[in-house]
Amino acid sequence: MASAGSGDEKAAAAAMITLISSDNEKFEVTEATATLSQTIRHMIEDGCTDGGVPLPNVTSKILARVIEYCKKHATAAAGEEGSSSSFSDAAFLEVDRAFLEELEEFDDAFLEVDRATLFDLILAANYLDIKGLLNLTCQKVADSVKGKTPEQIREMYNIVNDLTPEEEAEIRRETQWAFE
Amino acid sequence: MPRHRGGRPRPAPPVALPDDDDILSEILLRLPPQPSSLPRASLVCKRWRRLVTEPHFRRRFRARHRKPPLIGVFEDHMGHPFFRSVMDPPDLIPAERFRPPLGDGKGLNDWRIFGCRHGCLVLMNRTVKEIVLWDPLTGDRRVVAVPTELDNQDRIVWNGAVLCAAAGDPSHVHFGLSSCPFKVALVGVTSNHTQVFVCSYLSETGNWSDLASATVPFTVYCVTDPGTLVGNTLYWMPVGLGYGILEFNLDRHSLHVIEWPSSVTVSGRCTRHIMLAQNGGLGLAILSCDDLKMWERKVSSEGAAEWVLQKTHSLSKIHGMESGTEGVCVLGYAEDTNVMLLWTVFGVYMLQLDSLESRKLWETNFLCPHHPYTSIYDSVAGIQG
Repeated sequence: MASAGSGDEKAAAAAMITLISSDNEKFEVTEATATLSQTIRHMIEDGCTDGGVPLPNVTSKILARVIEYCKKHATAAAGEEGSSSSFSDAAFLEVDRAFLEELEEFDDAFLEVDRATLFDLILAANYLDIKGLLNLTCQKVADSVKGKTPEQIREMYNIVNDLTPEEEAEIRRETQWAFE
Repeated sequence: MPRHRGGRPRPAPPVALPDDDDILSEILLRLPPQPSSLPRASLVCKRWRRLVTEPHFRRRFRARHRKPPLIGVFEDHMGHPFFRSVMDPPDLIPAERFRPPLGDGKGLNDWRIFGCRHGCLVLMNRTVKEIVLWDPLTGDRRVVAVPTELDNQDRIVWNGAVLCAAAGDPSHVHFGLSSCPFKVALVGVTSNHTQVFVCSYLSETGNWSDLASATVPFTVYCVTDPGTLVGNTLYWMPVGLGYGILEFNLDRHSLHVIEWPSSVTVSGRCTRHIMLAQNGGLGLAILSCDDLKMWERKVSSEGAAEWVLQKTHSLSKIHGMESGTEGVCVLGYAEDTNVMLLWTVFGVYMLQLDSLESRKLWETNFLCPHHPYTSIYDSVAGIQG
């Protein structure tokens, strides 16, 4: 599923990069999309992207989602830049707000995935160093823990309680109020 | 194997989190800054406990939550200050956790809270002429004798304010009394009721500054209300036979008396408070019966200043508030969160001045100053050994 290059993307003018997933699928993306990843940005700067960028830690299923995220956010960033010169301040703020709302809606929909996919996205965002995606996905996990008791958190994420009874008693004694 | 304690086993096995300390830290950093967050996380397993108690993590957690939540108030109750949470369980911290360290019986009833800011309280004991800097979270305290030049037959210290001296640095992360340079500014009045003075103490050096004085254009008796920090300037309202505001610039160490909005009269005590205006400058809240008026002091580029009425709100129209003709009092104000604590005959309320969201806290007939305490509760013991 390589980039189809929609009309407004000006694909012809943009430099293209090929990303190769762990299962050997090739994805063609614009440089603007690819450089949301700091890892890939550094590779481009070092001139090591000829013949494609192998990403042995990312499956095609996850890479497709990551690219979807980067495309949207790269387009939003480009849209903001383009609009600044042709609008008055008030109109620019209006456009800015519209972009932000659209991005927020996109992000919300993007996060509608099962936990296994969410964790794979976190690992990919971490490996590719995409700050926005890492923030978004980690926040989703943090929100799922919010307000939960330690027992509920352990059950939710299959965590073994390896604290000794003494250690557990010590924390409970010091901050009993936090467990009420 | 997961250890299930009661409850039916789930049909589908839960998915494990990524097995990576850095990623787990990134997730835990994004927990809300509520008091129960880190204690609860620390009870999940050894790894989580280790991560949330690491100094580097605590620093990042505090840097991420630059505006700590308002977790409670210290009530200045007839010389017996005590803590009261304004949160609901499981974030409700009991009074015993933050008991002021004043229990030696020596001049006990003479303790007064002067202020609370950036995680630190300053209290003064009139009998022994000492101030105490106290960090409720860690229990760290520092006792400092008040120089006799400040409190004697000719002058009396009436109030004070505490702040982190590095607060003006945008990259600074507050980390409590043990690692931040704290500054205390004591404010007082001369016995002939003509002058006010300020003297400041810096915890880093242990030194007191020179006295900064200003003549007040009316007979001045005392300074009863806590100060408000606006930028790097402290403001107090002196009590006397006239109206004015004391302005102490911490950078220049200069004290001035500035004018009060000329058309404003005040009915009774505790019906006015210095606050942050919407633009972050000096503001003033004036209460009368049901009205809350917010003033802003605008300074032109030529330096000319004037008070401008910004907003008027009817308290009874604010959702969640009840007010009567019996009056209303300001009990306290938190600059960090722009929250005012108000008393009416129906109870004590917390009013957020930007959103006008209000919440009833409790009922009382006893009016005393409330010092808001904002904090990140990261005082969780690590694993020994």
